[in-house]
Amino acid sequence: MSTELTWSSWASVAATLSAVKDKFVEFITARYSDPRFFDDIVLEIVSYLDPPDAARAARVCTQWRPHATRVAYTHVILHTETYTSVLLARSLGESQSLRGYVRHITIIHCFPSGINLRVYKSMYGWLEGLPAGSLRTFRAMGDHVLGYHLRSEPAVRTCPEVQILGDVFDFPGSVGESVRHRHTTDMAFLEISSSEFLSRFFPDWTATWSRAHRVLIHVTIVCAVEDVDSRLQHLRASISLLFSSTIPRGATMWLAIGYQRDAIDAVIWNSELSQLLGPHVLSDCLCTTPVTSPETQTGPGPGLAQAAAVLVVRGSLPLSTVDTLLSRMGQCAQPPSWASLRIAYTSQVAGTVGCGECGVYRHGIVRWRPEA
Amino acid sequence: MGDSNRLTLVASDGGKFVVDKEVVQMSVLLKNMIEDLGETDESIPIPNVTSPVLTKVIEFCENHRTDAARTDGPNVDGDDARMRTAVVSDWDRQFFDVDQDLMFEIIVAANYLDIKSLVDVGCKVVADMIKGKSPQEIRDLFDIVNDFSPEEEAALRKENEWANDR
Repeated sequence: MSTELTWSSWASVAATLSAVKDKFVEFITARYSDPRFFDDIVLEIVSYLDPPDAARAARVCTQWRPHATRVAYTHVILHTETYTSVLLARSLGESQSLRGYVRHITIIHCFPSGINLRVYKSMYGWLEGLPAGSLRTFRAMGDHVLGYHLRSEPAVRTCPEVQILGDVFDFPGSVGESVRHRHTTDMAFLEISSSEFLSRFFPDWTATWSRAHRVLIHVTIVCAVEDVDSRLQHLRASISLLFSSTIPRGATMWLAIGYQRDAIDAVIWNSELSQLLGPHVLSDCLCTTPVTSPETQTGPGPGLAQAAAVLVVRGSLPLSTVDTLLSRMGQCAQPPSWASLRIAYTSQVAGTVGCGECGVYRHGIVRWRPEA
Repeated sequence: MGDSNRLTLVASDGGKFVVDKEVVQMSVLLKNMIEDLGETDESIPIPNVTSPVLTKVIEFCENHRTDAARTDGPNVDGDDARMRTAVVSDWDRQFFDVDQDLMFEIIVAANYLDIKSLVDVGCKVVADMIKGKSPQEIRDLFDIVNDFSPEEEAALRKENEWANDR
């Protein structure tokens, strides 16, 4: 049975078609008659956005999409073990076109969880899909296993600027490094795993460390004394990178700087290190505690002594303080033999008042007393 | 005979502005034009820019006349894009404390006249307005039509889920 269209039906169809045409024209004219958003202006605007903002801007309209997508994926920053990074890694794994935008990569890998091949594949498997020669810079922080895997990726191997920081970082063969490395790591583990430990040095510190809240990053530089200056330059660059990127509010940064334990240690401790920290000492917060003799500060270390300055910094950009400290460390006649940097995500920190003046949250000078 | 160090610009609505050559030459378009014309007393028409906008453009150029010449452009590929998040100065922010129509007219005029520093500042101000907003909030803010199909929109939402809306 056929259906004949009446005049009223035709009128309805015509009205519908007219509305569709108007909508189409509206789309077209909205794109091409709006001088506010010439392509070069859109590109300029989105180039000032951080990757997450750019990714949202890519969903505004078809004109913005290519420009904003390029910005969103040119620099990929993965803070491992955040859900955001898992989603980002998934998107990059599923889309070759998105991988095509990637020129800079920063990876910050959680220290406590370590890494195995399964975890590596799930988070970084997409790196295999990056063509050799496509990357301009590659920076990663994590343990040495991560570094081993990353260095094997074709895109990383061919990248002109690679910086991989880990707990085994360009290990030299001349300074008794195996011992120092082990105890540096032990100390780091103690620091991040025990609020009781923390409370010995920071009485007001009531952070609750748990799987959900604890440390996200661990970086330790262990190297020969003569190499420290260049290592500190790298560390400084990394800190700049971190603090200019997307560390969420509430994040806490730990920077520990230490010296090898030998005869010269006490001299360094009492003079140069105190001078280094001196400018950051203010009268109204714990970070102002002047460095006194090493014996006044003790800790439950694993036995072998390490001298360390621990600077604990609340999320809001105290970069200048840290940078000044590192600069001064680099100028020391006897620079430190190791430095350690950690970023902690702390959501249950209470009873702590940071210094509004210097931005420093707490710092303490930690001395591990050798076991009797 | 007029002052050889000054030029007259004529806006699209006929408004005339006598401006120092040094200021005018912040515009690459006008700088090239002046070089092509050589010494001349003739006024230079700016057909795409109205008087209110040209007033603001000249105000910006006079304030920034001593700034070092800038030649860098958007280069999100070669340089780290995050390095481009320079802070907008108080003066520049106050300069752009105008209604949205005028703000975009200034940016478009700066783009036409090829005044890089003014385009930069204007785009930074717009970028600051975008930060932290969802796609729909950005559309609402600038009255932009969503021309994605529902399927495209869904795919994009999934692809960019990591940058989820606030």
